[in-house]
Amino acid sequence: MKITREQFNDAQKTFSKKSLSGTQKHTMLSAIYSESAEVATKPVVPSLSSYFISFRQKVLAAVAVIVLLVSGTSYASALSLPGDLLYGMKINIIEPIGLALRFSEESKNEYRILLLQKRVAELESLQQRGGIDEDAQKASSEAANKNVKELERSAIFDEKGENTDVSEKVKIYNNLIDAELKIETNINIDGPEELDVTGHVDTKEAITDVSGSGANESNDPLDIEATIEVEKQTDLPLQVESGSVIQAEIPGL
Amino acid sequence: MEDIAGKDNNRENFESLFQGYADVVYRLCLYKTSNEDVAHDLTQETFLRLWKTLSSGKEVTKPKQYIYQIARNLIVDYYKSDKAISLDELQEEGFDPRSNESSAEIVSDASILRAAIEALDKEFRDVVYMRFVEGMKVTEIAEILDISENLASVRINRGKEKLQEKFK
Repeated sequence: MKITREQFNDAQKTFSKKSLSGTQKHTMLSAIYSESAEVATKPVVPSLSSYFISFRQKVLAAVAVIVLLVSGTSYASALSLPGDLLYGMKINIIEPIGLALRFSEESKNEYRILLLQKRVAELESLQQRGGIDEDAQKASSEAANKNVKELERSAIFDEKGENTDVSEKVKIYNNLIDAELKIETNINIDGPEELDVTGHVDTKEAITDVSGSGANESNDPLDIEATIEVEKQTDLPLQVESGSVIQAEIPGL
Repeated sequence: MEDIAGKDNNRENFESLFQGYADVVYRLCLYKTSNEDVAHDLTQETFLRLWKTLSSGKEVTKPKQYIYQIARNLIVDYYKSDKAISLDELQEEGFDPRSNESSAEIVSDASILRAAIEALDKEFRDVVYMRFVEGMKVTEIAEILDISENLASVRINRGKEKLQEKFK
């Protein structure tokens, strides 16, 4: 479109006079102030997407808290000793998880023997701390009995039908508890589920029962030398959970 | 007390800018869109944004430049949106300039000015519009466009020459 100078000048003169009327300006200002006030007083309603983001963040935060709590509690419980508040969690949750992570029956049994070994180490730790009270004894004995029962159920019997491997372990355990820690115990294979570590059951009978044959193989507690000998035979590494306060050498089973 | 005083101060400052620049912004929007209603809405939106900025306590160091920049951004947004309809489209859809003589004249004037100025190179368009349509001084143009007065002056003269060449 060809524009002449005159057209431009005429258009400029007319256009430059174009302005908003006083009423228009007043209305515009009112609209600006009222809209601004509405925005300022409008309640913040999150959009659906922001709600989901917020919800997701809440879920993540909750999961993080749970993980922290569980992992922290798990760590604390793994270091707990008989009589501690978290010892039950260690025995009934943490250690079964460790067992579930072992797939072959052989490795499971090795782990169960290790747990039985830990029971002794726990009691030694308590003794070094200042003593083993009745509650701690009971808790430790229940845990050991649980380990033995599981070991018994999964053990491979020999051609005579005797679970000699488990028997040996239990004998050694009982000996260590009795002779080393001076705690009378009654862990046995065929014994009742509920154990009494307060000395109501004769240790000798327990050892007799352990044999599974009815023969009284030994009325005397096993001595330490015998224990060491068995340890060599089993070839199980001596493992102590981290953080344990045990300073003395932990006997192997 | 300080907050109230600050708000009053902001409001006073805002209304001073509104009275001084509402018509300038309105004409710029009208020039760019050839639509009075759109120009009205864009002007209102420009000053709404300015008011929000000032009332939030933010300092606007170059208010004229700030206002002009908001208006230009809004115009760009308007053309990016589906709302923008060209004058030709309006006429095709039944727009009758004779039904509103004043609007038709303004739209026509805006079209003439735009046809002449927008034919110039980009660097001359704003300065020529501000100088020869709005009648702004070189100082003010330099301030709004954030360029030196010297450069603004050069561009005005060069733009004027280019425009005169178009008229020949």
